[in-house]
Amino acid sequence: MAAYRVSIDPDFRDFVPGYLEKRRGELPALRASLAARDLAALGSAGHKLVGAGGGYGFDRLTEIGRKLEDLARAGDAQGLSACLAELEDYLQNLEVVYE
Amino acid sequence: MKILIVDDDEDMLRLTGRQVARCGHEPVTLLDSSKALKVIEDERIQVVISDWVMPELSGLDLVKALRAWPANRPYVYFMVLTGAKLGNINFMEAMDAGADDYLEKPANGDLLRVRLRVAERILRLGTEVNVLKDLIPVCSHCRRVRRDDQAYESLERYLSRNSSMKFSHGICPDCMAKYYPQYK
Repeated sequence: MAAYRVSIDPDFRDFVPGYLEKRRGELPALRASLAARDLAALGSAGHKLVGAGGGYGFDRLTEIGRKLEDLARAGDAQGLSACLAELEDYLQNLEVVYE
Repeated sequence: MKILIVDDDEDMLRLTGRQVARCGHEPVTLLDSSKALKVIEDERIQVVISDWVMPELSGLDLVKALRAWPANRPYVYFMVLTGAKLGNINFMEAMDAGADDYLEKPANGDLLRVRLRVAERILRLGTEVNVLKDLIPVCSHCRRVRRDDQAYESLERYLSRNSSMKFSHGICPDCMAKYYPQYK
């Protein structure tokens, strides 16, 4: 059973699967950015999650996005690692319900 | 209203475009902000919803360029929609540069709807002001107004058609004495 069940506006049904697939597909690149200490890339990824994530109805993505931005700005590698793990956990255990 | 959404994030463009369409307006989306001014002109855009930090032309530079247009062009309402934490200084810079409104991402659909209603009201007020500050050709005798099609109509009808004004009719003291002396 999915750990995170999110109700999404049915009007976004045609956008959301593609949006989530793209976010899942970006995880390896984010981990590579962390390994390379590319804080700008991580901050930028966080910034994008803030906007569209919550806009579609994934408030948790907005929270994680804000955290990523702040941690990237602070250069906190340990925090970023934990944050990416949080993001992966959320994306891999998400159930979307359109209602 | 025709609304231009400018953002370098495709997912945001898709989302905001859908939100704008749900409000009953016509969205035009643009990824490359350097083309924004041309699109605004060619598509007769009435409202712009713009991200702040963009690689080609920033939201700040876009609004400055828009406000530098000649005053006789129709007013374009400018709304900043950004996930960047602008802070007070940048917020004031945006408003001073000519932005009319500011929203933080993620944009709540209901909040966007009411802010767009405000934009509609302001644009309508602007149209009414333009109508009222224009020169109105009036007949020197009967005081009727000459329309664009050269026909004449009463001032009340002219103003009612071109603004949100309404009239209530009474009788002034001079006309009362002249036409209804029996009611002194």
